[in-house]
Amino acid sequence: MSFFGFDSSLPNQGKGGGREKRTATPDKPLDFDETYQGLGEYQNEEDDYLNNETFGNATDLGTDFDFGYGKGELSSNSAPSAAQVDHGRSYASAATTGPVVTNPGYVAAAPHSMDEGMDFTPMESLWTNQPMMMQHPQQPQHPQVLSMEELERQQQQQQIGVPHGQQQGYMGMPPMPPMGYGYAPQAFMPQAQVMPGAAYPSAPQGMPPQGLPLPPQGMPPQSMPPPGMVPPQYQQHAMAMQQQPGAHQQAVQQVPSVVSPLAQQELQQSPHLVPKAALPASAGVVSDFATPSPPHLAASKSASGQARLASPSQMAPSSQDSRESTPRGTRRGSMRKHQEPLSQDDFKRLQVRQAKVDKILRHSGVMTPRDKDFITRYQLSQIVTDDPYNEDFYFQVYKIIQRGGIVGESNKGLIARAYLEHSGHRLGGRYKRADVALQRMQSQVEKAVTVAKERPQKNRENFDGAKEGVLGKISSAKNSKAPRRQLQIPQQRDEDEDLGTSAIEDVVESLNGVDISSSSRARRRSSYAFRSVDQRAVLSRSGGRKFVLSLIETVYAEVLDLEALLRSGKETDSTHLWESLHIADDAYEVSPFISILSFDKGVKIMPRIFNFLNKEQKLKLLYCFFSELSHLNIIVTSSYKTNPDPSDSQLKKIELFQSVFLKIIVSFLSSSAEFLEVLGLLLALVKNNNVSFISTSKIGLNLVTVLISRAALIKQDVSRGSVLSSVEASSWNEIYDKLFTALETKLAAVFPPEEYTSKVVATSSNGTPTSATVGQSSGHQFYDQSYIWQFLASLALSGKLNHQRVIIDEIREEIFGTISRAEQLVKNVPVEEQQIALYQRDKLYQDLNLFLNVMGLVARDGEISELK
Amino acid sequence: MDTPLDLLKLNLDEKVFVKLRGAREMTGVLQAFDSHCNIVLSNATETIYELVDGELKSSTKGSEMVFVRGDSVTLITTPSD
Amino acid sequence: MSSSGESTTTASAQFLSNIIGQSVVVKLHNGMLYQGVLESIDGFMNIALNQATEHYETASNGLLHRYDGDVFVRGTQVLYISEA
Repeated sequence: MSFFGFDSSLPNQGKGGGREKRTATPDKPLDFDETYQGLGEYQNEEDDYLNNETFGNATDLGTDFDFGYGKGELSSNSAPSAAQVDHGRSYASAATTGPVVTNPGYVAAAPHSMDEGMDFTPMESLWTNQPMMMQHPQQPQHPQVLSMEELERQQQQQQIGVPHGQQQGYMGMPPMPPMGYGYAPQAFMPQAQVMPGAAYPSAPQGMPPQGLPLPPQGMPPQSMPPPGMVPPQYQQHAMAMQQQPGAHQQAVQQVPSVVSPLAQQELQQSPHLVPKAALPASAGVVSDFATPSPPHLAASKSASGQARLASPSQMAPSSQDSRESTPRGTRRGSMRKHQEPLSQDDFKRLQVRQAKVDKILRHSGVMTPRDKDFITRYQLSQIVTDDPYNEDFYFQVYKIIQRGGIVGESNKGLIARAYLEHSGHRLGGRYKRADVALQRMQSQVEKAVTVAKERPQKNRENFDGAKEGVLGKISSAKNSKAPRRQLQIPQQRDEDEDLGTSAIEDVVESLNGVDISSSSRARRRSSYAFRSVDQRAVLSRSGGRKFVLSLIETVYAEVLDLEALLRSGKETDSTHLWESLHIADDAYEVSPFISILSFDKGVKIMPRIFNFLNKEQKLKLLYCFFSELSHLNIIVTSSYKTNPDPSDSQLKKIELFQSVFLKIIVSFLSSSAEFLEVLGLLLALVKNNNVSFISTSKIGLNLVTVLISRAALIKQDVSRGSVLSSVEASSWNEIYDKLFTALETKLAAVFPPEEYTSKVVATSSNGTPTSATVGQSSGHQFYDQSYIWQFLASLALSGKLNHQRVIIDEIREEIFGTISRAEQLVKNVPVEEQQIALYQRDKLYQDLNLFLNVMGLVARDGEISELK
Repeated sequence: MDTPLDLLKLNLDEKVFVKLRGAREMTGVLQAFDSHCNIVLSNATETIYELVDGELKSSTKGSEMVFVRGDSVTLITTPSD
Repeated sequence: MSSSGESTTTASAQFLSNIIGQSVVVKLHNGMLYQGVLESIDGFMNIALNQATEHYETASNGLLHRYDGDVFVRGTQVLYISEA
């Protein structure tokens, strides 16, 4: 005989199986003769020797298997204890060891074994106005398990006792808030778990929700008493009651269809526990309890329905108690559990599970599927409506109440009318309109979906067309899939303000929780939020330090793999590598790629990465890089504005970045970048960053220089064959103008102040020399400003006459300052240092002339003259 | 990122603080490690704590590159500075 | 539990996987006590903790150190791990 997968033909599946294993010592191999306990004799299943243990004493199985909570819970909470006791009798010692894992599948047999303990008389307490007096369960033989249940029962009593008293008047009533069962389409079943909790406090709803945890076994079998209790005021709802039976019928029929999704949900949550039948039981119970009078009205209509009522309702309430208590799980053929005391762990876990399930069940069945359905529909209609006020029933009622109503008409009448209007006259047996209502719901859902879809579209309208065109299909980091709240941050403040660190941190804190729209992101990048040298703000916006570090590790792994492939001559596929860089990842405010670059090891791996990327990917990478330049830690570190006192390690970092990253950018640009592509990158830089701030940082300035000079080179490169098209030329002019405008009046700021340069010199001479300073010996280093003049030179080169004039105007002082400094160097200098001084002076002139030559000038011996 | 050693991997090339047996601590840039917790540190400083005449004293040693055998490692973390 | 034969995880393995994310107390052979959120653990009992505090012998003794970042504790040094 086999049931539910139990293969009785396999040896050692009987009682002794577990025992046998347990007695084996771990290190000694089992000896057959020693350990054979004559169990083979039991293999002969013909005698059904395990039957009693499996199925209990009763044999009346019947065919109406309910794989949820056993019918055994017919009476009050004594049932579970009875069950327990019963099983205790059937099994050797199962029950004494406390609660066991339940197996919901074997519920059906349980009730029959418990018939002895059943009490079918109705609970008087249910039908009176007295505070509840619960039947006390039989004293448990198994203190461990049942005391827990005792506790729960007591808790339930307390909970039920209070509201129940209030509910008496509602007892026999179909719930008749305006949002009655009238038109909730049944086909839709939203999350059952959420609803019960929400529905519970809805005492005004008029439903006797407490019917569920309360052992209402008495109720369904005799729904007769309720009518007598019906307060007259509810007679107007009699009409509504008419529809209940039908609705109820449908609800009951709906129940099975509801089972599986709910069951699945529940099962996922508490794998061992939730009997599949519990949910239909609960749902069935709801329909029952919500409409206690209809059942009696419908008694004639649905006798079987009632029987069905009886069983679910009986099952549901005590099921939660019994679920834990019955050792049904042990009936799964192998008698392992009942022999072995449950471990502390299991016990605790079961307790937790039971608590959870109790929580769920306490409120399950409070709302019918139609109720939940209705709520959902209502919510949807509120979301999607064009006119929230007119479509809101509550608001209409409120209006009526406020208005005070027409003289002569009662408020109630008005409200009722408003309700009828609003609900579209769906009362009065309109449950047939369920499909209409369903259609309405569907259309509302569609509307909501379309609205949601359109929102990101609107955002995209802010897109700059030029960028798209220049770089083809390059995706912008500004695309946001999730709608964001618009926040306007005050426009760029005066750069010369130097906020203290605490202010910056305050700003960072306040900005941390805020979502910004894509259009204000560019402005945000130049905000003070990202001006702190430590990377915390940026890191937290790109997934967190650990996340970024793990990305770096992934990238390293990918690169190593690819290099290995390359060495063995195989084809390399850069897709994984590309994905691991998270460049196009919109999920974070700051691209994780940018954060990768804030770590030295991230920068170091860049050249090797570039090896494997194709041109399109490189372009995308650079585009992302230039767009988010302000977020780069290296920019903040290398700017004298945000880091006026750089440490040795920081200078080294700057040096590393300069030598590594700039190199790859330059080589890429010179080898494979088209004119328009270069322009695109420059535009990305200008558009998304505070250019003036960038220009105060050495790295930033170098980057700008690289781009401008590249563009200029391409423009002048006749050997390329094609002359610049008019589109290209005009784009270039436009972008140059933009750049110039951004820098205008702030050109002098590209020169770091004296304090900064002397600090850098001091730090460099003490630490490791970098390219930041130059000099013939460590004692006589000076700040290398060649990069600044190079920038000015390239800027002037690509500009028109008036541009050049502006440049000269603004840096006039620096020009003359440099000349005079150079001259001063060689005056009054001791012989030993003359060499050094001369060198320095020459260098200064060299750098300056880089710039002046562009404009046809030259500085010599303290004077500026025309270049011939 | 499953195991603790995987998490340790994230600290490669970063400054770490290592506690060792014998009242010793080390800080340095983590260059390498393995499952035995053998560690290679660069620019490391070792701090040794001793009770000298009832007083707690510490002394330091620096090394540019050091290999630490795993069995003396007790704890690894990132320094607070 | 393990005698069921149907699952291969032991009680200890289950315990270890259950406490991940919980606040735990780890004691080492040398008497040091660490309390923190268990971030990760492996079969050798190597431990990664978050927000760890360090005491000697018992938590009621003075706080020796508070670690902000991750703390990696070597498995061979662990005396016990317990839920805090």
